[in-house]
Amino acid sequence: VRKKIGRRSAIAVTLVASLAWTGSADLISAQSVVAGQRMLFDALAQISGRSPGDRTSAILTKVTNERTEQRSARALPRIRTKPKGGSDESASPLPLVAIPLADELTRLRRTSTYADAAVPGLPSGGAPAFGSFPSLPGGGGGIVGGSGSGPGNSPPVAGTQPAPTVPEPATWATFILGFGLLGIALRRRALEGRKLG
Amino acid sequence: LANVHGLAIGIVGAGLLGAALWHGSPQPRLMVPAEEMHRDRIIYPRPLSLPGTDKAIRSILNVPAPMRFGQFVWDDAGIPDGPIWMRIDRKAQLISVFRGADEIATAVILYGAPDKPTPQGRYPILEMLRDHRSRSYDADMPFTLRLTGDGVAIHASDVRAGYATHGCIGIPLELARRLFHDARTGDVVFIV
Repeated sequence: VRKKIGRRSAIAVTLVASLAWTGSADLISAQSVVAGQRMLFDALAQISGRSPGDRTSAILTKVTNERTEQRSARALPRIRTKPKGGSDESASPLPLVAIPLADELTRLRRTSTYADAAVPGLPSGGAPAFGSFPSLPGGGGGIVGGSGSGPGNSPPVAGTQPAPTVPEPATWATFILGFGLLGIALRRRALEGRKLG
Repeated sequence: LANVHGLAIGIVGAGLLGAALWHGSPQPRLMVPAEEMHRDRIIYPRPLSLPGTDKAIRSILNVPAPMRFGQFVWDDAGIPDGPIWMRIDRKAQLISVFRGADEIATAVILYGAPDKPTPQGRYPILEMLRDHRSRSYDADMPFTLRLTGDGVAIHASDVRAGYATHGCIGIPLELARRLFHDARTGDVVFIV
């Protein structure tokens, strides 16, 4: 009987012990999994903590190639759609009018007596057409505005870009330099006046 | 009286000049070097692997505040030699450079725009080009680490907030230089 009890208890003890062992082993592994998860969460939290956050806008980094592509995309249709022959009415007046006008202008420049007179033979539509012709320099436009057209028919000065509303730094610098010189001149004049007086 | 006027105009002129100079000069970007933000490293008692990678890590850099665009941290003090590998987190806009099991560098990145996305995956470095000039984009891409056959690469870029690339990973120039020095063809880049 003792032997039996002894054996039984031994079995029980080993069973309990083995159960306890495996249980604790499971527990330990579970703990390590939890710890691993926690570490991973911590690592990810650390990494997201240094992130500037989600991207809110995605402007494409500018590259030269793309810019030239865009530029040509803007410019090419105008060139391509412009007809070579004189069939299109919108394009044909430009060369037809601009050439005699340019001749007229050079003639006007040479002969000052014509300066105040109305330009003879200038077509009525000539000045606006000239205004839309961009390749002539602004100086020519000035001549047209000042002397070319007849009285009461002065066209808008051609070939001028719209002035930027905010002056550029160089303009500012010139502006300020002028003010400074003005100040110096006035001061010098005042000092001289005092000496004389 | 004229004297006073002259002086006044002079002062106004000087003031305007000063204002113009102040306004005209591009304001330097206020930047705290990321190196100063970085304190030490966080060491984990057991190795773990970050999502999207199959490598075990032991430590990461401790960067307690969000980094700015163009900043980077490089700290490999006391880190033993080992293979370089990288993890690029597009959502977090970050790159992590590891040597062995330790993170040695991190920075904010630029990645592909929605219509030119940076692909996800595991990419060994195919080719390294020090002074690369892209023919397709007509742009300098120094310290290029090419990842895919169709042109996705890690390269130096002007890393600014709000910008995106045509699919590449843009990193600050100095980081790209150091990375180029340390990385080798075949080193693995994980993009998540």
